[in-house]
Amino acid sequence: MPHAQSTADAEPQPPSPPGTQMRMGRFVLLFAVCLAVLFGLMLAPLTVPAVAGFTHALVTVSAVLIRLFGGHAVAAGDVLENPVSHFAIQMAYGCNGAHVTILLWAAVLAFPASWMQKAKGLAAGTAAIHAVNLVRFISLFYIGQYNRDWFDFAHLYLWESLMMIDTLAIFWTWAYFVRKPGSAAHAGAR
Amino acid sequence: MRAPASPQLRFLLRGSSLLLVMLALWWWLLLNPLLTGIRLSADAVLWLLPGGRAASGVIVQPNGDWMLRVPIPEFLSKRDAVQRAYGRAPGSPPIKVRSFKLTIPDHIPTFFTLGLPLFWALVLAAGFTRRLWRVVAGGTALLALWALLSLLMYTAYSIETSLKLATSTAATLWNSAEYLNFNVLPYVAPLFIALWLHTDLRAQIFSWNAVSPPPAALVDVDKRRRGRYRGR
Repeated sequence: MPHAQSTADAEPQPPSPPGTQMRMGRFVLLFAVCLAVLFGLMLAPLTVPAVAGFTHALVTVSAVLIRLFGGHAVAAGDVLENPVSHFAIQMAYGCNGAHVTILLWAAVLAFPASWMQKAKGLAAGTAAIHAVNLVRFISLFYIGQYNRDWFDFAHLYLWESLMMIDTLAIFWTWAYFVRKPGSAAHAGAR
Repeated sequence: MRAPASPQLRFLLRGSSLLLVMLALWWWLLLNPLLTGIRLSADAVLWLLPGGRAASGVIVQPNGDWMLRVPIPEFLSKRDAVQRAYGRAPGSPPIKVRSFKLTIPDHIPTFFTLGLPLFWALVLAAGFTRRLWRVVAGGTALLALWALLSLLMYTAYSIETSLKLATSTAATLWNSAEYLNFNVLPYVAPLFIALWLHTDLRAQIFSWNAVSPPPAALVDVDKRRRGRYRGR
């Protein structure tokens, strides 16, 4: 009996608590608005110098970290170069972690929590994303010196995808603490 | 070795490991069939466009690059920008333009299929449920369609920038759309589709009510109940 079979296969779904769908709808709407505004801001000519300055700062920090651990690297604007082998990589517009930062910011801003908790989530989440991004950029600098094909694979496919998984885990961790019973944010969540 | 207690850390570790496995599977086994599917689908879409029956097609060149022959509708082919791009001299009769030949590097279509291994890693890392295979199948179909649409969008953008058909305002919007299509959506789309289709993952992340008490407390309650009814 195909009908009976399909009924048996269907996984029983627990009934949604009242208001869950409305909250999800509100989150999706706010998230989409925040995403559009933040990407609009990032692509606007006004913010280009600020984003470029931030990118230069990330490259400089990468060079300092590499030298701190005994490596050879100099920063020149958005380019990181090995002065010995003259291998250089450029941190392009999309490689500075801005996309995943915007994604996290939009999700945190749209999630029901107190403003203090949102501010903490934005600060800690952004720091975590850029810490991972520094590891990514430095690892690509070394992989590129070792093998060009591996560099392309790690750059285009592996690291960008890992950054997405990291961002989801960071948001999930923040949302978990916000929803914890007794947390200030849970008490004040709107 | 004990599994990490935090579901977020467990998801991160599982997801990262699965991503490596899925990328290897995609790169060495699935990429060629996927690219063939996208090439045939793109071929069919171009054939269905106005004027496509006379001049359209997707050919893989010996170096692996793709050559797309995109039909140009008659109303576009008569525009000044198109006529100038095809070398029509002022005062001379219009040139008949039937199609635009666009060559794209082989890594572009490959890149548009990247969403698949990322999606598989995300949904498998979220844990096994009875509906998992339906989620995997649905998401795979959606992302395959997404890859085709992204490729067509990239093609349209490349042709537009070569022929300079848009006004400055439209060009700004068009540039932004292509930026998102090429730099953001290939990574973000699998995440959104995974959250949409995998109800358990979505419920874990977005359970709006307070997080339930730790499982240890539940075990204690059960033990007390067993003791209470022992004599029955």
